Amino acid sequence: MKETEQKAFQEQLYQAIGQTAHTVSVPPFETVAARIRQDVPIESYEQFFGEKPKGFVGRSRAYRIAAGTAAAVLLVIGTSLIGNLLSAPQFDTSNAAQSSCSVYDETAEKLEDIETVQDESIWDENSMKQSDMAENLMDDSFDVCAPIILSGGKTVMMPLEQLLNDSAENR
Amino acid sequence: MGTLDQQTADRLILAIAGGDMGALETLYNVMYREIYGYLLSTVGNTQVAEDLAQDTFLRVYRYAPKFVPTGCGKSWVYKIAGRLALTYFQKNTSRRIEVGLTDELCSGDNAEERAVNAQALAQAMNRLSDEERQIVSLHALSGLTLAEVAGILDKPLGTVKWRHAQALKKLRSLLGEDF
Repeated sequence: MKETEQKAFQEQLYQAIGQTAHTVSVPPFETVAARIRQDVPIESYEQFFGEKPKGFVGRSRAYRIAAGTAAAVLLVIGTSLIGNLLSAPQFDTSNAAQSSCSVYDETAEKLEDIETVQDESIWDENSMKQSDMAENLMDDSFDVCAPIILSGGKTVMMPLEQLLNDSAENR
Repeated sequence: MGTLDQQTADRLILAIAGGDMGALETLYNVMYREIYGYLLSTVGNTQVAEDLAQDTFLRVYRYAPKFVPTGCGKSWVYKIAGRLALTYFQKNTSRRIEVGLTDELCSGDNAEERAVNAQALAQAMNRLSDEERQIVSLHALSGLTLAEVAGILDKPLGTVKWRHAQALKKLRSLLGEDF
């Protein structure tokens, strides 16, 4: 195809293309502007459109709202925590103490029931024999015992039954 | 077509970057038809072309702050439109060209002849490859040089010239010398 013919055809072609496009109706610019409104940052909205967007909340007011909400939440949480601390029950040790005291009282009662037999016969000058006897008695299982003070000042626990038997023999 | 030059487009885009909605409206009113025509020849669907054309100006507003004025403002707008068309192609592999016969084409003197020519033109354009169609419509509607068209399409100038020549040859064989 010759260059001149090509140029002529091209011109005719482009005219047809342009004519077709020229007949297109242009949609109103507002359709684009409406989409841009959704895209514009709030800070730039007034600059572009000369007015603040509907429902617009300024930054300082937004900060105040957020701070007030946070303070209210903290107040509720803090009040709840303080209330829980004040109503917590105290630890009651009276029962434990009472139970230990009851055991002590029972033991004391047993000791009071036991009559300390102080028979002179028992107090032999042979302290070794008595000390041996006392030591033997100590090996026995402790049931009902009476404290026996030996001549040496030593105190041993003697089963009451044994003590009574020894006392009867010595008489 | 192509009434807006590159430097004027630069000034308008800089004004848009500064918050001038009036500049955006001016750019829109001047360039909408050629952008729409370019997109229609590319995607082949009037509704899609209209949506993409509006998306083009939405992105012009959004990206205007990043625009560097180097005397290629018009090419920059076309580049945005081309990227949108490419994205559309990537999501829609099938393409069907529609012939929109407007009232102006269908009325007045020689209305029938014009309508027939428009339909024949559309069908002939549809026979071109996507790249050929893009080059021809862009060159015809924008008034830009083939070098600027190559810059918009990110293709070598030699490739664009070759494709352009091949497209004209095909169209001539389909339409005849006088259509």
